[in-house]
Amino acid sequence: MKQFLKWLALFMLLPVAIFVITLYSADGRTDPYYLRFTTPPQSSLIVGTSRAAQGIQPHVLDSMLNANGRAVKSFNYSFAIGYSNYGAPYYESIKKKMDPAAQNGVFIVAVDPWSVAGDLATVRAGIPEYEWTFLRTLNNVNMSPNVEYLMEEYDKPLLNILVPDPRKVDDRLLLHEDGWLETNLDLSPSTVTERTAKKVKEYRDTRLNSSAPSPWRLGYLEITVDLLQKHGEVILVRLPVHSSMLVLEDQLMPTFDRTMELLALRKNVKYLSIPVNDREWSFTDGNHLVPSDGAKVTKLIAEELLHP
Amino acid sequence: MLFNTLEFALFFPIVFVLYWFVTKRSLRLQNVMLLAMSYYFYAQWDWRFLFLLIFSTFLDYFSGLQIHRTPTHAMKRVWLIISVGINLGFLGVFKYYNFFADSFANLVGSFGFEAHPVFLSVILPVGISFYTFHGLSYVFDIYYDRIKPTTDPVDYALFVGFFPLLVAGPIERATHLLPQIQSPRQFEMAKVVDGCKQVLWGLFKKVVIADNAAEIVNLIFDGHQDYGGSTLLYGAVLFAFQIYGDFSGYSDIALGTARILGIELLQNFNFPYFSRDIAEFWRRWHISLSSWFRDYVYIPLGGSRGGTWMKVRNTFVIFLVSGFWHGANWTFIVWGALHALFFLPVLLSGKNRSNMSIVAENSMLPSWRETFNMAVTFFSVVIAWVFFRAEDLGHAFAYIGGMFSPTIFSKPAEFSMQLAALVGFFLLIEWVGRRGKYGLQDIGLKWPRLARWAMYYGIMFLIFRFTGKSETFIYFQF
Repeated sequence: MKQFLKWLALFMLLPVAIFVITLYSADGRTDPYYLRFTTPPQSSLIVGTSRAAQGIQPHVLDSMLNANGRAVKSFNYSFAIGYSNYGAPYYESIKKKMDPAAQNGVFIVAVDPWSVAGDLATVRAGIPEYEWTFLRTLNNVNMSPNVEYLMEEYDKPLLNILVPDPRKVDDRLLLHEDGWLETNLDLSPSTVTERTAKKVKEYRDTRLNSSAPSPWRLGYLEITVDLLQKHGEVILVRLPVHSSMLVLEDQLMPTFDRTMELLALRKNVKYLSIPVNDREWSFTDGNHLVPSDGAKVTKLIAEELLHP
Repeated sequence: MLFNTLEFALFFPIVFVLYWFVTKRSLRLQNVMLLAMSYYFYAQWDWRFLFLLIFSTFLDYFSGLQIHRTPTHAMKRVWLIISVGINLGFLGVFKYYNFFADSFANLVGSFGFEAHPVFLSVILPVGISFYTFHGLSYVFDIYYDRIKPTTDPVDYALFVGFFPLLVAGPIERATHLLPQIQSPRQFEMAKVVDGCKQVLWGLFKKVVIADNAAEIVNLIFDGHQDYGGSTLLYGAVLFAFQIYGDFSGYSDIALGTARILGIELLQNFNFPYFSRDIAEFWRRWHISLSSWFRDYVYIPLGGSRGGTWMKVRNTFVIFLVSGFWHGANWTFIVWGALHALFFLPVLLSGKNRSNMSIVAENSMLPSWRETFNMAVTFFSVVIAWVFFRAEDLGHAFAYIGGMFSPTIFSKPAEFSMQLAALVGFFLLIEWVGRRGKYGLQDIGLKWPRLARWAMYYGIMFLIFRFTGKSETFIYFQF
């Protein structure tokens, strides 16, 4: 037995060393989510879908709030639609990411009709949405390196982290340590127009006809606000989108702004709906703000928090 | 909990330490611990089905005792019927009810009547086909006086629920496994190292071969109407490697894991794609299931002893039942029927036992005749695999129709040089190691340690290089 253990330890030395180096090499280029699960529990959060992930920049928010005497260190805990629309998996994950002792935090809850919409058939049947997303299955969201995420949820070969496949390197996305997902896309007008048309078509063809406002998701939005309110100030924010995307959102949920205003009133929180203006805001695809306008919109939110 | 996951990578070392260090001095304690860990392993899928497993275990344990103790043959038969009836009843409800309800509705529909059967919304308990067959073999063996029942419920429960074989076999026999459970196990370094190697090779088959092949196979089968004949043939051949890598990879991990714990499980695969006829293929593919059907269905029906009609009938019965065991779908039944059709000429010409040893046993390369026979057998198996993989019969026939079209001579789309190289390497190792129990077993034994380790590191590198596709094991659905 001793001899076996000795040889096994010797044999495993190299693979274990490579494995550990691989784990520690994971960074903001690994994928658009990994770093969000590697920080300690947070006291101020930005939650929402990819619009918020790419649009709201914690460092901009923090610098404005700190400059005005509010000591805040915020963290962007937003994911892509399909993972972080309001519901049980996202709510439970936010709970895990929250520092239970946090007080006086700032919580930006990004909302839009898609984030509270559910599958049409499910909504009609009046049954809860059931999503088996990685946010439901991932137990550890505050661990560095996050072995569980890399082993169970990372959808590429592990060795890709250490030796990226040169044919598949994607340098267009960079996840920062504060959770902001920076994009570096071609912003030439023709490409943006093409991307916008494609995105709008995708939403119109695949999402609009199969979605409906979900009372279940609205309920989870409400309890998410309740949860965050216990730890500080909450603001509901509707980020701007391209006007062609807004048309779809108005079809999906014409009373969205009114619903959010009523929710804000009930919960005694602010609701900031940033007006759509194609001349004022630039998007990468009609849905996500370009980084410079993300900074601009973050400043607007900070001002709202500072000077209601 | 899958064998190729972080959970299992944490679970198994814990079992290893508890088994060889903490509970080693007491066989009873060792078995209780192994049973508890096996139930934990099973509960990771769905803890509710653990009760079904425990009930099925208790039923067969109790029935076994009653069959043995009851003096009259009639009462023995009653207990056998109770056990078999309830076991098959569970299997019927969970696995086959909707199939029969749907088939009945279609049948009466074809006569102009309308039927609205009630369909059950149930999920299939993982491993039910495997542990049901464990239990059935146990009660049959007691009924036919081949074994005496165990009086220790823990030993019996471990025989049924031993975690390496619980969800996808091999389908063990009480005559083989129970004595090992009842005797103290000794740590033997050579066996443990051999077990580790088999686990490594199983992981390679699953992660590198099966999961990589699955990506292209899914693409081609799902969009078969968009591809030419050569691509469809390529997809079918790749599926043959996918299912072999997947299932035999699982079996290798199961056997290796058990061997590390000092327990030998039945060999489930023996290089089936090197078979020279279909009878040899069935002696080498899913051996524990084939031998189960041989011993408990084919031989009781008369086997190949009767006249031609008996042989034809029994062959069809065993292959159709085997197909149906895989799933409640006509595709599996046609798959079984096709194999029966392939098998019959070999059986009726009396050549079903002409290839008993491994191909090219005393030479490096096969003869031309052997190569030809292997190619014909492999191609027959590939055709049948199309039915096994297809969603329904329409899909299968459309796929095969597309395959045998003039475009079969065109250049296949979706061809991956990388995958071809990996499959080539895999076949090379399997061919060189075909005299062992698994491909890697005897390779490099006489090499210097560094060279041997370099080979193992190379295989580990490939496994790490290709992890992350997270395809589940195909046979879990059965």
